[in-house]
Amino acid sequence: MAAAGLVLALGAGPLVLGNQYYLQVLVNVGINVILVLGLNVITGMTGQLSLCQGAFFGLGAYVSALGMMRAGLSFWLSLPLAAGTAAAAGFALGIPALRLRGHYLAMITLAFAVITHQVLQNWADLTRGNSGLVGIPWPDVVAVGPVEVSVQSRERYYLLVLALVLAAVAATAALRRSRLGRSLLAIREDEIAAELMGVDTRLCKVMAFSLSALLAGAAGSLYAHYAKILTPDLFGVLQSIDVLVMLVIGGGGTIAGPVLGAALVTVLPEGLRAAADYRFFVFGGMLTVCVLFLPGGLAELGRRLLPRRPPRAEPTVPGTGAPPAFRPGAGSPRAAARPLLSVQGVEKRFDGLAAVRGVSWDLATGEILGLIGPNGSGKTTMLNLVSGVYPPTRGTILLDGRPLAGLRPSAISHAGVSRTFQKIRLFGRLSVADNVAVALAPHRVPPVAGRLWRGRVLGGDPGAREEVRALLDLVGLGHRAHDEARTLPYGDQRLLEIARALATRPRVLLLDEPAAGLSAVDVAVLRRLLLRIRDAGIGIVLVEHHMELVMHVSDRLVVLDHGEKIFDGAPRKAQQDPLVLEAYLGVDAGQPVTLDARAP
Amino acid sequence: MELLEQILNGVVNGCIYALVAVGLTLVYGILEVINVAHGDLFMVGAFVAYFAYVTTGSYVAAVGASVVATALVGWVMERVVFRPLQAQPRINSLIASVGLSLMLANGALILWGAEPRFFRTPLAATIVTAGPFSLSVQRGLVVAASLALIAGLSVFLRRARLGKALRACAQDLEACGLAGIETQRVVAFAFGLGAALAGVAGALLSPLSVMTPDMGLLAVLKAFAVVVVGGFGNVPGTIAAAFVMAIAESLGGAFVSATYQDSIVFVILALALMIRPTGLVRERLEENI
Repeated sequence: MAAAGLVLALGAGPLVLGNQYYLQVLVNVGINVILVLGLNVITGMTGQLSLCQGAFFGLGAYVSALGMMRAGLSFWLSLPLAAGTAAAAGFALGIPALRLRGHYLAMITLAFAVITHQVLQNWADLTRGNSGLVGIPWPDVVAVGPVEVSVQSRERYYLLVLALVLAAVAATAALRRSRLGRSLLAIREDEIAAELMGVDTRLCKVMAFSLSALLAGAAGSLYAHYAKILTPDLFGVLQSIDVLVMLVIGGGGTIAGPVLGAALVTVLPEGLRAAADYRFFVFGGMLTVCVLFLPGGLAELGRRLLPRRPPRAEPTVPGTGAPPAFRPGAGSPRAAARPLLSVQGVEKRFDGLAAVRGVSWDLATGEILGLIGPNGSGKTTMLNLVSGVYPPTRGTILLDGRPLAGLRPSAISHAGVSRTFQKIRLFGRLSVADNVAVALAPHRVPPVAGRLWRGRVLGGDPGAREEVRALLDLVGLGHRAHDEARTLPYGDQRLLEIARALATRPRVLLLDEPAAGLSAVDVAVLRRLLLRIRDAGIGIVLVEHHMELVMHVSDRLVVLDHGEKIFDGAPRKAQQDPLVLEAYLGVDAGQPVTLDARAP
Repeated sequence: MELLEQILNGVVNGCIYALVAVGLTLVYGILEVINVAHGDLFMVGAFVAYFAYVTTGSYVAAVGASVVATALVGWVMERVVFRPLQAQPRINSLIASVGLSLMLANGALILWGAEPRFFRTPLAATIVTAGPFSLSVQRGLVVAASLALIAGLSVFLRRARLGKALRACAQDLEACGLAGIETQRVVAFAFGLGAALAGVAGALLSPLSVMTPDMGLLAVLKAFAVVVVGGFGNVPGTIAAAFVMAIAESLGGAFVSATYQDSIVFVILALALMIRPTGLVRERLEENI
């Protein structure tokens, strides 16, 4: 209701007031809202800094203006053409710039902004360079059935801008709740963990960047036909930074933040014309100060002042939930003949230093394999190799007979290998339920577009919602479903990592020290959980220093020392194995020492 | 003849690029943050040299003033902005550095105006001719001083206690902290050192060029391109890339397109990223997953 009233007021107000100046300010606010909502997709939601939103804006403006003036296109074609051109440019730029993690995107987009400005200045045959492109026409009148649509006045144009602003708000809000949106937020929180939980981070980042460019291109088209004159200096580096200032002040990652930020930063300088010379100095200061003292922007300030109670979920008793829908174990008759996972002669060198040397081991369906060894013996490296964090220097890893070499971690996750991390890597600012939902296997939804868009898990897809619920109940976290993951106590965070790993419907589950830092009660919960997972037909590799747990649940032990396998067999035999004893305790074989619970 | 001239130009510019890029990579190596304001330190160095020279008439004093001023600005940046942000996601440091860059560039604009400034020392006016070559003494000084600084830096990184600590922190900041190295001091030192190198570069180039408050932007972008092509944290690679790219830029500007001379380094960057799709840097996998 309130939203409808606001829309009505925004629609009617300026037309009633009839003040041209206010109208112009509002049109500028609207165009900036679209620009900032676009930047929000890549920078606010995905956590990748783009510094060329102003260049995409300029690209859209010039394409739209020239489309009408030179190519004789209708505005109603040149607007989507402008948006599409910008999106295509974003796609082309995003492929090399987003292939790597880190700050490549920021610097490459900054360079792109500089180059775009130079091209606009120097390609004078097309853009008329610094003398500017003038006489850009109003949108042409089109007939939609019996109705003639004409936006050839400032008042009507304002309504067009308002309509597109509302469309942009609705679209980005829907994106935020979609499967793709949740994947983007997960990338922002922890890109490596997202990739290992099956999110194709490269594809998602490029799509997010294209979407942000698309909105900028559309905003550019809107600007061109309203301003009627374009000069290259409207689309320089400073304009891109302007958009960033609006996003940061408003608060990235939300929808309200960009709208607030765009409105404030557009209107404020109008009131402070005397200080125009200091504008960018002040903006720079605002950017730095805001990041230092209010990193969530105005949106976070709003959240602090008006706390909203999240919906409460009913508590559950750990381990009593319905068993989750595990992927059927290796069902084919041939599967029994060969191991589920087979690691063959694997070696890993870092700058010549061997972390793992010629290690082989197998894992069967429904088996718990304890992978132990002193610190630095190569256990975590082993898990990183199997999950595809890095490729082995030599050797092969087969899942159900299929080599995993060359697959990205997300593809290995889809093939059926999932894991947890020694140093917890949850998506901290996502809810507990969303942490699990990000990892849900894409099995249930049709491929390609549907895979990304369908399944608004905690809204529209009951099957997926039930699966998340079942997994949370399994680890006893159903009652915390709506809390931010980073607010969970340490032990619960470890359990949530397991629930998240299971959401990919793995056939092999790699657990990296799941008991580290857990209380005795939590360890007991974990132990029951491991046995239930095993009984569902999942093969578990358990890296753990908690000897009591390892000895009790493992069906078999592999012991590593200095990157080499020194033992492979029944847990009880390991306790008497001279090599194992020496590795662990530094004692000679023959001395009456037994490897017991809670050894190092 | 012009070819030789342009190559010589490229060598001189290459020295400047190398000094700026080495500072950028020093800081990146430790904090994994690209300081967008690094180019503006180069600008500050040039302007401080200008004012110091105009006031004192001594070029040595001008260079000294640049070093002190930029090292101080770098140190303050670290204390006030980058240190409090260390625990936050890295994108926040990056955004803050964009803000710092905006403040430095526009602060300079407000203080000193937009008109290009230049000064010419007697060294820049003295031309030495040897056969087909003619070279101003200032250019020779740029090359000699840059090479000396880079050589000194590599000895320092390999031999000095602080230099070793710096390299260790670049490997693993957390582990260094646990091992008892005062990592905050090392980080602050790296910032100051990187800033001073950018400042020296500005002071060395200023008698040969004109300066404007917005010159930092292209400087940091080019330094970034140099660092990527040369390999992050790889000092010899960075220096080699600086010369290759500066010479390519001079030749391209003279023989291909003067208008798009500044874009040439980005074309090389794009090619490099395409040829080595996984990146020229091995990503830091020892991130302790």
